[in-house]
Amino acid sequence: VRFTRIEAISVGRLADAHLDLAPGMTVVHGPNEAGKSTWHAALLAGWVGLRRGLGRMRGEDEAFRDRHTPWDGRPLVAAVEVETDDGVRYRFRHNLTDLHDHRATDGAGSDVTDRFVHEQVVDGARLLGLTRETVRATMVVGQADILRVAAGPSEELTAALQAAAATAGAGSGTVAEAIARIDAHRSQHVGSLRAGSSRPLRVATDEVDAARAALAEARRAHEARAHLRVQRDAAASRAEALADDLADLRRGIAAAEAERARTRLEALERLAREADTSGLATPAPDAQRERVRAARHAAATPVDDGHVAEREAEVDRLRRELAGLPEAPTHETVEAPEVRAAAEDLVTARLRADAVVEEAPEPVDAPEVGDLDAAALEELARVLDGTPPEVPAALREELAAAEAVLADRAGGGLLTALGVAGVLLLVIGVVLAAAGAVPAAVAAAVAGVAGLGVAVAGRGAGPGADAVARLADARAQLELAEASVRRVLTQRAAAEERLAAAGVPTVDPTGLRVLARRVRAAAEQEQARRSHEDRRRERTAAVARAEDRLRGVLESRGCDTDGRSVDEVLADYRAACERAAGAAAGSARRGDLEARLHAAERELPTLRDAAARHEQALATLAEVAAEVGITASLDDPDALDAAVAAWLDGQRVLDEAHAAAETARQRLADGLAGRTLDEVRADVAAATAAVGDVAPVPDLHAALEDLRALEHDVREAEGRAAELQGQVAAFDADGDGVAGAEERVAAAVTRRDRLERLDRTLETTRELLARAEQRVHQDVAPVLERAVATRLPQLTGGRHGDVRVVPATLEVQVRTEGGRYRRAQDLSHGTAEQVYLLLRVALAEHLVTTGETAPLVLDDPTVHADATRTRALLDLLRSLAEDGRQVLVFSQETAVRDWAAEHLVGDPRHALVDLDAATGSAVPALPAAAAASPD
Amino acid sequence: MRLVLTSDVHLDRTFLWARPEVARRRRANIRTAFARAVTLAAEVEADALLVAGDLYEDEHVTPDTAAFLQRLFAEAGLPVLLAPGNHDPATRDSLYATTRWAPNVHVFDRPGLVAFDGLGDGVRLWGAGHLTHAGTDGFLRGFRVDGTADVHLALFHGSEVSTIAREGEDKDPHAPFTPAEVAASGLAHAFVGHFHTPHDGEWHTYPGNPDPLTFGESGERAAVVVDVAADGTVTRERRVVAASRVADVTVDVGGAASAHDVVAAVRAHLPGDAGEVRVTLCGDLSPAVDLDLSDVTALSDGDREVVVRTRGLHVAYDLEALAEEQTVRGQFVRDVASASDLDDDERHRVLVTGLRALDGRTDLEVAS
Repeated sequence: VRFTRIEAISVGRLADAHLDLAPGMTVVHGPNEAGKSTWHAALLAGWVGLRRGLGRMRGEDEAFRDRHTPWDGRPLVAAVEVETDDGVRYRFRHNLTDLHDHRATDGAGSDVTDRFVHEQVVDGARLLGLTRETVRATMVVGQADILRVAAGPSEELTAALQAAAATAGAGSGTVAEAIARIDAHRSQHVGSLRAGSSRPLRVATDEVDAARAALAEARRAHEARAHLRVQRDAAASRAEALADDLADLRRGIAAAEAERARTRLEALERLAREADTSGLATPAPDAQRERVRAARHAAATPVDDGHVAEREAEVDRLRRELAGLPEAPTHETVEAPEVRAAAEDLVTARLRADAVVEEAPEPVDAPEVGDLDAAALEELARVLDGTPPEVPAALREELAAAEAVLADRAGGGLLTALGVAGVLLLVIGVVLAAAGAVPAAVAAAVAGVAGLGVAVAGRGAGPGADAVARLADARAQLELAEASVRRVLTQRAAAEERLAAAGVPTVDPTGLRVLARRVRAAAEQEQARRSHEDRRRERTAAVARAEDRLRGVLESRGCDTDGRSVDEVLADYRAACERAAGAAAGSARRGDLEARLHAAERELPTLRDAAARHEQALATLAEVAAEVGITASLDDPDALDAAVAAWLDGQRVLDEAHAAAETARQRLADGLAGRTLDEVRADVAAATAAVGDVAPVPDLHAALEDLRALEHDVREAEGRAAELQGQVAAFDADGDGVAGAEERVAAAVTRRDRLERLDRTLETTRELLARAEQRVHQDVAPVLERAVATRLPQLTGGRHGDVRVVPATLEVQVRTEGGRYRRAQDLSHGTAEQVYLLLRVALAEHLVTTGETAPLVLDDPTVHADATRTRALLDLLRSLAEDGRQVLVFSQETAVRDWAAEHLVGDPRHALVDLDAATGSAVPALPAAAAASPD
Repeated sequence: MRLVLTSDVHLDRTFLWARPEVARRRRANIRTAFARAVTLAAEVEADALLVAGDLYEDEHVTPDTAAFLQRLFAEAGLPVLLAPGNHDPATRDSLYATTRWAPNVHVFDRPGLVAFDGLGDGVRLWGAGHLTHAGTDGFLRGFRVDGTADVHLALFHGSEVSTIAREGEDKDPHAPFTPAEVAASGLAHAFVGHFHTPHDGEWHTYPGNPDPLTFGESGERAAVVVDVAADGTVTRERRVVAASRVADVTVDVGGAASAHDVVAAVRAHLPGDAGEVRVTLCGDLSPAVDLDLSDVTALSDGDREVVVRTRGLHVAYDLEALAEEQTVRGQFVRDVASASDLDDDERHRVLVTGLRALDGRTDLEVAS
């Protein structure tokens, strides 16, 4: 980019003026107050204008506008025409008085304002990728910049580079300074969290902790208070309940006491009545009462004529009774023991004899069975019992078969005969045995067996031996069977004959057995009868012996038994004993009757005297009674005595009544205790009214005990309730409680969070700034190295040829002839400022982001330089211009004009512009020769 | 029959944004508003005062509040019916249980609807209370009125289901119910608390909190005077009882050239009668402005509390242009813009702080 024209439409004292600029280097020269600053301002105002940001204009912008606004009231208006490296032309126009009035047009006059608006105002620096804030520090080099590098502290060059790299001059200082501000702010407004620190974050954190602790305490108190309230309410309820119970009890007690007071009043009133003697008679004097009492006592002896008469009649009766008493008996008065024993034995013997008679068995008729007894009948029945036996037919058939076989075999001969004979003998033996002839039976059997043996042996030897043996065997068996049948039949016949002989009418076995049972029963009955008869006879004899013994005993007692039964004698004896006993009893009363007779006879005179004295006493009594008003006749001593006794009782009652009245008076006085009965009545009435219809306690004593216990309980419960209420009240005085504590925590947390957030923000900012600086410096350092390295030998006459830039600090170091590196700012002032210019150009080139070549504008860069340094600097600038960069130099220095006249005039790439000191306008361009300074 | 309904009083609520004295004043205002509701009940000769839960916050409630309520109700001169809510559940140690209420106070301290026949005129009021802070099931599930009353009404603290999303209820709504359940249960109307936005539904009424509890609440802060006709229909009239005067203003301070301009702009927007004002600052603020929010809160005085916050308040750097720079500043802006570990607010603070530091400024804390 290069400027082609500056238009001061109305800037300061310039109006509708313009300044055309060369594409290479243009030196605008004029003396002080010739308008260099105005053109410089017009250049910037026309190109980038002023920001139209939010709110009020910044102070420096406002100062710029104020300084360059025309005095005649016209608006501050400037314009600039530029041409890009590609030859595209633009015109930028700004009315700084009205920031809305700004415009950008292209070479064809088309409005391209929107392409260049920055902060709401057209900004020509956008052609370079810069802004109106950065373009000044990037493109414009003031005399102060040069002076600071050339004459300032050695660190200024590095600081200037750092500052330029930091914000391209838009900010204030370096990144390090910015970070230092952050650190300072952090230290002052956040601080350390170190324990004991008094810095804000520590304090805020401590406040949070304290507030949270207070909140925890408030919550604990809140819960405790709720718990206490429950306890307090429970205690209060208990106290109230107890108090209610106490009140009830007190009312009950009051009712009981009122009732007792009423009772006491009733007693007092009763005493009052009892003490009242107005209705009582005056008692008789004691002496008089004593005389009456003595007379009555004297007359009270129970003696009368009737008693004397009774005693006389008794004497007579006793005398008669003594005369009628019997003499003492000679007969024994009690039955002798031996008589009693003999008599009892007789009675026993008779009882036993009578019992035997009663036991006599009934006679039984025996059946007519001859000499047969029951056993014989049963044996006969057994013989006759059953069916008569028969010979089995099989035996006969077998015998017939055997005989047939034997007949078929000739020559049976002798052996057969022997066999048959043997069989017959054997059969005979059997029959004999059955008949009881044992020896003969044995002999026959032996012979039979022998015969059979021979026959068998012979048959065994011959052809018919077997048949003979079988025949013999069959015949023997048949004979045995037939013999058995015959024997049974014989026995039955014998039995029937025996029965007939005995006259038994039946042969039926069953009837015989019945008959046998009847015969046996009759025999047993007969045996019993004979046994009974024996006992009867024995007991009859015992009776006779007992009678004999009694009789002997009675005779020994003197009884006459002759011709009389023993029972009669015994009865007489007993009657004599009873009579003797009665006589003995009458004789025994005599002594007693005689003693009673003597006593009665001795008492009669005394009784007669007593009767006389009693008569006298009655008379005295009647007399004394008359004295006290008792009128009673001596004819009725009982009435007199009763009247006197009544009188005495009346006196005693009267005495008692008076005594009771006195006692009542005393008790009444004690009971009233100095008060009147009416006062007591009033009190009782008041107490009764006070308790109303409350039921009195049943047991006042127990109730008073209960009252004391209940009062104690009430005091305890009320004390507990009060204690808890006190604790609740202590909690209640806890200000705004949990809510306030929570709010204090929230406030403390808000403060702490704000500081923590600020801390994080500052830390993050710090880190990001440092990181950005590092990255930019790493990018910039090589650019700066190259920019300086290409021209350093030229600038230093070959003394320095190598250069390096430390990325961390952007410090520029050059290598000396000895090979050592030294800081560029330690070179000569002239060299240093040239290096600075190279670095500024390089930095500007780096900061430009559009690829355009940024022009370089210098304001009196040589004002403090000597001629040599001025020329060297201007030579460098021309060199830069000849490399394609537009350079504008505003200067008041004559040396600069001279240099320009010498080096620029005549070269179409460059220009020298002289300003008219009076108008500030450019004077017409001079030819090269004429442009030279006069000297 | 005439009733006065209120709910969600939230006595002893915390105001974490406020200074201690302001918070206390707000709590006092809540009491005043509730006392006005009670007074209103007497003035309109209501048959009862109904409180549909969250009368107080039990984690904050003070004995002083207990004494306040005890006396207020005792002197109310009409039946006071209380249905505990999730913020004031009827626990063993709650105020409901530990305060000796006057005989005219009735607490529905059962978790199911219980009849109250003390209103007379053939009206039976069913009430229920929360016993815990959360997890209370809907009171109307499976509920059906009984008795010979002509009109059945209900009083409880619960979440009308269709309103939950709008009110931002959490996932576990408190005692949810639907208007259909009210109708199906035989109730003529339900007086309910929980949602703070007043709402007059066909089958239910939310009175809303009587005094402002947060900034930005909509609807009147009132008690509801309810006239119940013989057929159960209700007529509702809201009477403002709020004691706090709360305003919410937004001030665009983009044109301010200095903190002074910002304060002046805010002052110009402050309503004259508000006790507490929340000021929201927005706009693109000139980078030159050294704004500290305490400059704005300093507008608070004895009668007015100014609370300030920022929403969309940015320092108007031309970050796009800055990011094009090949300077450290440009690199910084690019780095900050691309830093993935920064949220937008922090990114903005870091940018402004860094740019201010590079600009040589010492006001490095960014108002936010």
